[in-house]
Amino acid sequence: MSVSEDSKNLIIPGDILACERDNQTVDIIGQGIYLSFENHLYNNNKLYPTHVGIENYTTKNNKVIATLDYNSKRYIPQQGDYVIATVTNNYSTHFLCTLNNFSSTVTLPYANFPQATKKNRPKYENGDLVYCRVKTVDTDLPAELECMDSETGNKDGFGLLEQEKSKHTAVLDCSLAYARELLFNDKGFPLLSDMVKKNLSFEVAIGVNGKIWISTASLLETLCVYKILSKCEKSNRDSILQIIEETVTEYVKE
Amino acid sequence: MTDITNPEQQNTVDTGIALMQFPKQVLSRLQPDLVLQRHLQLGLRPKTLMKFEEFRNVEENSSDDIFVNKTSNSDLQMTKDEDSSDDALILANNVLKVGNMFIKTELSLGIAEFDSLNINEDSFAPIWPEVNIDRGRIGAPTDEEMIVSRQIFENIICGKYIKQKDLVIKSIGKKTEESETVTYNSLSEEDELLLENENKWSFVLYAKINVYSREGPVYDHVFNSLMLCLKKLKFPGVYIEESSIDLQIPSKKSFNRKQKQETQRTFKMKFDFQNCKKLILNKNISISSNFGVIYKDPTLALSSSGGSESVLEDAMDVENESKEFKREPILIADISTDIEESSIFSRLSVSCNSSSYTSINLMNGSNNQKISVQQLKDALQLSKARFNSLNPN
Amino acid sequence: MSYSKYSILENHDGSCELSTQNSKVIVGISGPLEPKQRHRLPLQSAIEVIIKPSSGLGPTTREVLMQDKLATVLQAVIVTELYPRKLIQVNAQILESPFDEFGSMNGNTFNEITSSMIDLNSCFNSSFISLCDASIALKSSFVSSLLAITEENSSKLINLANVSDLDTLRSYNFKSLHLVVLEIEENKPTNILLLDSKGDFNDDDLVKVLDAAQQNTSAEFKNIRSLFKEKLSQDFIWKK
Repeated sequence: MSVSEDSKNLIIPGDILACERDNQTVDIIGQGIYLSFENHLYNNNKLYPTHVGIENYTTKNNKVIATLDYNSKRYIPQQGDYVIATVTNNYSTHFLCTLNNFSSTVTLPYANFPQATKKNRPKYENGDLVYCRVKTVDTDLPAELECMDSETGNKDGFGLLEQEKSKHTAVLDCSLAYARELLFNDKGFPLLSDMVKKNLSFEVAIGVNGKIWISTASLLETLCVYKILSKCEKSNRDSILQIIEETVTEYVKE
Repeated sequence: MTDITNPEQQNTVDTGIALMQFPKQVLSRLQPDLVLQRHLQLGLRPKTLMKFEEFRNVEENSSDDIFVNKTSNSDLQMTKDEDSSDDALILANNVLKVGNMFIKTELSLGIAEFDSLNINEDSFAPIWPEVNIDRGRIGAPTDEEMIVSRQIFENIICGKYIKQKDLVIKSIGKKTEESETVTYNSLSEEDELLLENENKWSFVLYAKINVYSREGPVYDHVFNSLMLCLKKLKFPGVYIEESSIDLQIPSKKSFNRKQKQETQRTFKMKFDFQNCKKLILNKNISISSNFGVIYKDPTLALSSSGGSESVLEDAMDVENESKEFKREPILIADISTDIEESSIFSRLSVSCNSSSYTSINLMNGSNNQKISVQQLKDALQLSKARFNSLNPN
Repeated sequence: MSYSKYSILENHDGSCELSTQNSKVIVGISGPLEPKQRHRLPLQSAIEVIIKPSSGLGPTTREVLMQDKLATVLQAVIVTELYPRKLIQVNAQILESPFDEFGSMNGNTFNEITSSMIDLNSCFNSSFISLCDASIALKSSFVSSLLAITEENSSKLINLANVSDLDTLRSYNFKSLHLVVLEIEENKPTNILLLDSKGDFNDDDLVKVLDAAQQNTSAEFKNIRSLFKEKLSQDFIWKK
């Protein structure tokens, strides 16, 4: 999908969706499309777009899924998302974490860690970063995080994002769509592998709440990775290689 | 409407959820929208049982007297140096009883220096209002009070009721020590003091408005009360008491220092309530009325034909299969109870006189219950009719 | 025509600086936030609007009335049931107002009203772009227009946002002022979200005003649509 080619599909709140215009049946509605209670009752289940974005229809298992692609800054928890949470408080049964500044807090119960027992509680301090997954989202309760794969009980790479000795770490805030693209579309958007190809060695954790955690062996390398990731958010795909080249020579002269 | 539960709720008794019953006063606080919807189905409005397009009864009460607080020596002191002292001067008053709500308006007066160079003569004078909604609390004014005050202020200017020119004090009288009467227009004697004070001072109008036992939005009724008050407004004459004139001549204390201080003359300006002049309004006063739009909720419809269970169930079946629910908009005039106020978000306030409108304020506060152009038209017509029925001129 | 820049405040979720020919406003939106207890509504989000004047400390009563009007319209447009117990905060700062240099009155009391309506008009348009920038769920779009009828020529409508010469603006002798916020559905202006008319006018004037507002809304919305096209290509620039 390219924006410039398909600018006809630009949807602004109040516009009519293509599925409504063509009387097409939609089985599942995703982000950015809303069926209000009033429309369900009085308006023949009319769907309307709620954001500025590009409409997108996919078919999976014979079900038509309609979504609206848009970019944003503030993350709203969705079940199954990989996020980087900041611990802000701890209670007898759970940690209190934030995913965005000033957003509602979420909980991370001690039971949601691998090999959890009553006595074995993780020792995290306020301000620690934890890589975890959103387990449940309930409209009337704070969202619940987990630090393991709850089906297998494995650690699966979740847990504290530690600052090890002789390592330099940083957290980059970015837009949500960029974080999703980096995390899920590695083949279509090979920014990270391109960086590795340039002999940069780094550890990275991407949370879809718009946070990228970077850890490298030296401060300059950390800065270099940080700069590349933040510059690439604002530039064209064709210039990615050039940006990597320039930044690497600027920071890590070899 | 004594039966609070509806048939569906009764069916849930055997499923284990206890049926809760509330007295209607409690229910109207808990679920005002439900209570309003049930009344709408019956074609009535809650509490008042008025029709949809019915207004509350309005009683007007006012006296033509001017009240002056006797304790403050019956005069308004005005010197060149100091501003007017605190006083309790009420030039016009009005008490409006709307339903159970009382609105008391008092117009008061001050004098301010009038700078004819800076102030456009064609401009229109404001009234500085202070609206108090008394509900047993003290402290800073609430948002509602600020909003109503500001709306009054803006709409008085925009309505162009009072010309700034008419507030300028054109002739100032003089009371000599010998005579008891005030003489105006003393052409015979060329009085320098009077001449230099002509067209220099201007009246400023203040309105103190109190609302007691508030019911529904107050703006329109406050505005009406002020309008009726304005109709009665009389300006007193202004004179200078000769005995109060005081000259201050600075004495030269040193020859070295330059003489900066000029000769100062102070005097007292007093109001002459024997010589009152009625304010000629630039425009006829207008009357404001408010409206709300709410949609009848068909899912809460009471069965019309006798109310037997089988009929209701049949109707439900038919609806589930084919019939689309249709919502019906209802225009409600004069939002008058807290039930209506808390469930009607789309509101409209129109003020008009016999020939034209002076302000329309339409606000759609809910996306599901919008005011259509047709309802706007209906409301405009109703407000005209309301003006004619009250006939304030 | 107005000119707007979006996403200019880094730390807000959405922001927009909008300048018309004679005024300038910056709006920042944060949300959905964790609200204070008194803002917490069980089934919908609370909307808090704060408008700061171009000079002096605010909000004064003048701004409180503007806040109330803006909040009422936003209540109707935002899908509040999607964010229960959350807060959406709208902060508007007036940067330039045509009556700044003399103080609002400037000898004519009518200026007090004109200035607040010009400010509010810009606030409406700016907050719509900011809301879209912040990705707050909206039911429909809206555009605000400010139209005036003068005493001298009552048949001609003046769009105050397009008057660039400040002396001309100050010299007008207004018969009536109309602030119209129209909802846009399927690319067409449909419902009146807010109509704030003041002055002296009759039914014919009102019809004319609504017609002119529809035209202005359509024109402005075309502008906004191309702005969003650009914004979207910026948002997904790394996709190309």
